[in-house]
Amino acid sequence: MKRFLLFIVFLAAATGASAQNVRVEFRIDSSSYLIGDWMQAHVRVSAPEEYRIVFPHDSEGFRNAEYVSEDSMFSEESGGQILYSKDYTLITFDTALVDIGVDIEYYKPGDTTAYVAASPDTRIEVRLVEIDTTETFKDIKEVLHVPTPWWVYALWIIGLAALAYLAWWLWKWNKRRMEEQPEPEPEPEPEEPPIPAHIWALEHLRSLEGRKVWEAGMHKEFQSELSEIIRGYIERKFEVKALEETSGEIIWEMRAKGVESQLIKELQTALECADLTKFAKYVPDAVAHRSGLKTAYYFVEQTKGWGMSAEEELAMERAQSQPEPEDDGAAEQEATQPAKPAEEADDVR
Amino acid sequence: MSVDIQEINEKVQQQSAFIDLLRTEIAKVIIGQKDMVNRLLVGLLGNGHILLEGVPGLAKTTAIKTLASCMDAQFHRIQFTPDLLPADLIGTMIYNQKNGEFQTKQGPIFANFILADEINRSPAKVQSALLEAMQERQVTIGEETFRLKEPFLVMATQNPIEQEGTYPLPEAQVDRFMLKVIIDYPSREEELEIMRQQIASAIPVATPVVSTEDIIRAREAVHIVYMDEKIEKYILDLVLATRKPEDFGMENLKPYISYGGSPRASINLALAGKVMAFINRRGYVIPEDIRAIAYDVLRHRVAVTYEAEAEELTSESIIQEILNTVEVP
Repeated sequence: MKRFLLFIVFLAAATGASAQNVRVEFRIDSSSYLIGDWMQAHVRVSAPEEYRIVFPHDSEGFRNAEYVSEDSMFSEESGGQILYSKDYTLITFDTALVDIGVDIEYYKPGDTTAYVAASPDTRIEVRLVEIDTTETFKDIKEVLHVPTPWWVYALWIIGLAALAYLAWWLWKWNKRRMEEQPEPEPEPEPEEPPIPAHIWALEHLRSLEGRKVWEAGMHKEFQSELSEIIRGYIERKFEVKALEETSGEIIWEMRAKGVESQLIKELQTALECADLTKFAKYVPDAVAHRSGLKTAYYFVEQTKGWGMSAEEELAMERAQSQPEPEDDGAAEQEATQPAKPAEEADDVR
Repeated sequence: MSVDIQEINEKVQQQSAFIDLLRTEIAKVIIGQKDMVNRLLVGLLGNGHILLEGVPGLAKTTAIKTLASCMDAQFHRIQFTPDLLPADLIGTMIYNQKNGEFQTKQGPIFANFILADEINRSPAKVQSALLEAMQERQVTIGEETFRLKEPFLVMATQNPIEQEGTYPLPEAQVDRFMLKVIIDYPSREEELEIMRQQIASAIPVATPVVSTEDIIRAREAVHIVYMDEKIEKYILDLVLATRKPEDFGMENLKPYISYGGSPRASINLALAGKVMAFINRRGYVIPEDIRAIAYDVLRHRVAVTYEAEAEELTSESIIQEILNTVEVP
């Protein structure tokens, strides 16, 4: 009896020791495979709960087989041990009887040493494809033509139709835009060169003189037009807004432009006479009218070269001394056009 | 020169003889500010009233006081305050316990020259009472109506820098002033002279050199000053250009003008033009007279828009543009 009890104690101790071990089982679905076929392998590891088990994730962990893929791992507790199970897909390219197995790495608690538990080998047969050498060689198979489904054609038709519609719409839109655009304006005719201020003034003065305005008793009209010609000339020649300025302001501007003081004095007299006639019912006598006209001519003649260089002045005098052609276009026509009648000028003002 | 104008000229020369005398007397007290003195004369002879804008200390009160002294006329200064009442201005009925009757107590408005100081400090009802008296030249207290003295000139002042707590004059009221004059600081030389004058032991005092009758006669003479049709047309062009600038080739001004000058602007510009000719001792109006007074007649009658304010354009700049564009006869 004592011996029996000792045996039981020894057995229990042996069982407890084995319970601390890691056991690996390796099983394959079949024992015979064609070369290149995938093999389904099942790995079961039984280990204590506190052990850390590392399943292989590449071909390194398998003996005589190549790793292809793996499934998820399952675990369950069983009698104080944890039972881990995992399925793998393996492959082998050696045609022979092959012993395949797996090595599982594990770590004990508080120990960084990597221990390995190896499964027993499982023998399988890997076969070659059987070739019937008695048959003749066959030609390479034709390329397989996958039939095009109907909806691909439909899509093509719809796409082409949309493209055609877009092209038509663009054409219409462009056509409408072209129609809406105003016709290009005709290129402006080149402007006639402006008539020089002194020519303009002299022509108007001659016209005023020729019409015998004051001789006809229209003193106010004569002086108004005379004043307007003088101011028009000053506006064109000196680029001052003489038509919008009073006589006093014009005189001031002439001084600022550096016109000769005697000339300014005479101009002032003429403008004052015109102002008196225009605004104070003054009736100048013949001498005053002639003097005003003479002053205007003189002022224009004396200032026509103002602001010009000596060469420009000479060129202008030469151009004036040349006889004008008989039919000389609009410039001459405007220059020789009689000045606006005094009454009309008065109305406009 | 035709007989008519000659006669007018002679009469104007005769009636305006006192102008130089008056100017000389005023110049004894007021140094510089010639434009303001001229505008005072325009208001006085044109039978209008003047709105004066300028910072304090520019001799506004002194000017009108001196003018009154030069004419031996009565002068009153009324300080407009927020609590001023119309009765404080025009007068009221007071119960006399002795005879048991109400008696009229005339207010300070009964004088020849009134200085309404800081008119925009009083509420609308007081402003309205003054402006009505200015227009009607009579005041009704209780059931009795009193004519105001002649000549009667109101010079109202506004301070341009302190606008908080003020009652800006409505446009309709402002239009009743013949002129709005902006006064600027005196020149350096003028200010030196002012300083010396004021610290001297004897401050000069103006003495009467003109009678009120002279003024009334001069006013009549102003009306006979000749104004040619061309000048009338020029005045109308200027005023119409403030209403429809686009008709005068100034389309650019259109968005900047809220409203232009009223017919009162044309009337006052013509009248002020005549007075300018008169004080220049001329019997006829020339464009210079109109241009010289145009700013003062039109600046408070041309209202600018917000766009103009944003562009920092004032009514003066608009008037300037108009004067530079409208053709002078």
